Amino acid sequence: MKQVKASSGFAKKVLLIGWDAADWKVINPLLDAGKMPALNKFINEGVMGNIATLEPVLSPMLWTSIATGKYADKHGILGFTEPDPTTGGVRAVSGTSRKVKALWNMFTQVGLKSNVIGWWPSHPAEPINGVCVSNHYQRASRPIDQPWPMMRGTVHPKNLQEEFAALRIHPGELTEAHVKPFIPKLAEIDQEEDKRLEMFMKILADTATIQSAATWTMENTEWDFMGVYFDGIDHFSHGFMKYHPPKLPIISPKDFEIYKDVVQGGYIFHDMMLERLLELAGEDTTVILVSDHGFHSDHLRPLALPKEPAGPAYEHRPYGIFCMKGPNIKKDELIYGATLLDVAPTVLTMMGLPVGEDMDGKPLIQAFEKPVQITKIPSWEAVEGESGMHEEEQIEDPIAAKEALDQLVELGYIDKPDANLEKARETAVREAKYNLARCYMGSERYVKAIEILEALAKEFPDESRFTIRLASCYKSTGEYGPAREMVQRTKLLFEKEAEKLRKEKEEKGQKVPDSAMEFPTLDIIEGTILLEENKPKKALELFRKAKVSAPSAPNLFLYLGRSFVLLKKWKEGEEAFRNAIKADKDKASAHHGLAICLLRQNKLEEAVEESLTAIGLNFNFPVAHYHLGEALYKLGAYQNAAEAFEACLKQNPTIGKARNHLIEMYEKQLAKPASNSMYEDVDLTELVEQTAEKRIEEQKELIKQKSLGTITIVSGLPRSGTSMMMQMLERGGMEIFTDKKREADEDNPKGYYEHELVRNTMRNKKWVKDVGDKAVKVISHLLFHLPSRYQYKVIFMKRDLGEVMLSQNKMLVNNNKAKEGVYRAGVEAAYRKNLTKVEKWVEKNHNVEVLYVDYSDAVHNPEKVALEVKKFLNLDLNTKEMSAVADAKLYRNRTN
Amino acid sequence: MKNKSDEIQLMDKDGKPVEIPVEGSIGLLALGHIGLLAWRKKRKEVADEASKGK
Repeated sequence: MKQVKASSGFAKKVLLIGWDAADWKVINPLLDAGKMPALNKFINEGVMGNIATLEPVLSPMLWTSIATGKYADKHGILGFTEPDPTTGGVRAVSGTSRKVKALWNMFTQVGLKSNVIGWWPSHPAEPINGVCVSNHYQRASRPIDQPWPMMRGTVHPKNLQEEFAALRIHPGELTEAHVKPFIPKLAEIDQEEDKRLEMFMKILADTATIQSAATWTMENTEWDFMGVYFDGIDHFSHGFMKYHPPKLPIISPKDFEIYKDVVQGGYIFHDMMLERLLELAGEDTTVILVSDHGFHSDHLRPLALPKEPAGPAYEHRPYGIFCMKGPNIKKDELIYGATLLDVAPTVLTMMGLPVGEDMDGKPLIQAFEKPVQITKIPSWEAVEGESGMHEEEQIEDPIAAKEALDQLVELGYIDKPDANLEKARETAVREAKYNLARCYMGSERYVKAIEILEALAKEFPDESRFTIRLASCYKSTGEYGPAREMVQRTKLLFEKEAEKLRKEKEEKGQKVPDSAMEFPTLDIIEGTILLEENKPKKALELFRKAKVSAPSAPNLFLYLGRSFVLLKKWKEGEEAFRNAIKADKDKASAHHGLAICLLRQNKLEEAVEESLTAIGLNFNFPVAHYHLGEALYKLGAYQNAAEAFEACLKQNPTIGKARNHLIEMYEKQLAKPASNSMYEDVDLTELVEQTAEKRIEEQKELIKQKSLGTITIVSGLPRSGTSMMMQMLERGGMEIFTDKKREADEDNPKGYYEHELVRNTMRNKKWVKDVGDKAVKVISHLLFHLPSRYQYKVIFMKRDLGEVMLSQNKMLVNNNKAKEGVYRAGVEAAYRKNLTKVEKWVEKNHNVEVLYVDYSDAVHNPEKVALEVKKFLNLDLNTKEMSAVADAKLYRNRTN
Repeated sequence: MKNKSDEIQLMDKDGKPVEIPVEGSIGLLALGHIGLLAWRKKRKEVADEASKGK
């Protein structure tokens, strides 16, 4: 693609403000108390909602996803540090590692003016059409009485360097007047010993510096887009959230009294800055305020952080804030379903520019008052012309740069960096790889994650975080054996660590409790593997065991609840999910689990309420929409139920059950015109019926389009001719899904055509994805357990029940499992029932098409049956070969 | 490029000039560059006054 031209969007200008780590949980009480008036006005004039973060929750990766609309594997920013190819050591992550265009590069290409202030990472400043002040701008590295030079490459254009240098605020410049609003008991701090005040002043000065640069740029330049990033809330939170009320038991009363207002003060200060930015932006500017993640501020604050790089990220909460106001933006409304990836596509759409098809997010059209046409191009990366990105030779893959450096060392062209530098570089590369793996995990690309994690686990065999994540990936891909191996390997590592600690303690004469050698985390992981395998009883045992030693382990109640759901123990499940909600009321999956348990106990209103809460917390939750639909359907609220099912299908078009419900409702409930129509002179009946019919057809068509593929199944009761039909298909030219483990015998001289995995369908359905174009034999009792995400063509063999019983009896006799002519009581009735159930299943499931084939017919009129099968499957089958299969001699057990 | 802040004097809601405290305030920091420049100007004025008085 050569060029993209700017067209007129509904946003004249866009101001994108980033508040790192801002969280509604802290903001809401402040709004209620009238302490954040600017934000309060903002949200009244626009939309607000949660925004889901991405994995891993590391800010430089996240802000780059916000600016590009892409996952980290595409944009290339993989952590806080990167190898420095010039020194052989490590440096802070830089903008030159970003491989793709950010919003300001796209705007540069269409002639729009952008200003970017402090974005992380944006150093060195990019030569865009506008002003770029990099993220190294605000840091004061020396005392106030020493020179404070600006790092090279901090400001674009260079002629503004001096101007911006003068706008920086040094922490040493701040006075008591600046500190007291945050720390009223400032006088009680021993400043020689306590370095927290110094840290606080640095954060405040850095934040005020960004505000200073942003306001100057807004006032003194022409701009179409402005991105301003503040890291103050994140830094205040990492430093002082532990002192935020309510007081944590580990915090001393004195520290609490001194520092308890810092976080609140930080938010209030940001509100004051927001007021100024909004004033400068003016009413006609579209303003977006976003955070990249939240921050635990309540009982979920971790009391200790893991000893690993980026350990503080465990304090982050998975939901940030999102607010937007401006022309054509809804007013005073909540929006759902936003993710960080949606910001860039939304900004582009509002500016009348196309969204790249290679972007991973979508425009947040639910925030727009009037519908907007979304235009797309394959990729902005293919758009030619000056984008303001660094020269290609400056853009580098830090891992590749490290490899290249290593090679040069090996070849003797450069000296080996000193041991510390080398170690730091190794660490940076290891973390980048690990973060990439976590990015793949977060976007459900487990195979790619496994590839990286396996290499890491091999290279760093003592790091349990790699083996734990590997176990999780293997579980997600259905590789339960390797998943268990990883759990065992992790256990050995834990034991080694615990043994080391035990020795240390014993040397000091301290007693070590027996529980030190128990590892509830591993019991929980093992339990989740069992849940995947549909073995809830065994899983429950492990979760109960873990509950004894770690009752507050994350997600434990959630897993207990899931076990009860699989066991259909709704009351126990309800209790477990209520406990999970007590531990964290913002856990969408706990509310959803509770909704299921309530639904199954017919507590429908409550089920609706819990489903809605789950959806409110996480809108992109198709199964929660489904269960909301189910509860509303049972309550007779058909229109609302239909909307819920439609929302479910919009998010996951392969959930066949939702479509079945929808079709049923269109056919039965929603097709009827209102009984007391006020438009009596107009015959609406036909119109409504036509509409309903059209929608039914549309939905049926969608089932075909959205299914994961069509599976050909041969089914029927055992001994009803299923093997014969399989043989016919094979001879006709179809491939067969069989493991050939069950060999031909006297009862089935031509073979069984079965697959062992199919017999385990009730527990594990994963084999279905491997069937492809082959034909698979599934006995009638297992049909109901087939996943609804596929389209099924079922050739169902029907045979006289008496003959089936006779043939089965003969087979049991041959295997010495029954006496001739002696039948188990009730079996025939159960089979009859099963056949009725199959008919109902076929009728109800619109993803199932069936061809009933009479066994006797297949034996006596094979040509006719072969033709019917060929037509039904719409395949080029060799009917002559198929007909040759039928062997009347094998039709041995007849009742007449 | 014109620096508009050179001409701006801080006014309150009623249009009256704002008294800038020499010790500064978070309100001035929140205003951004104009608050910062106004505060630095005030500090300089006070310092100049003090040096004159010596």
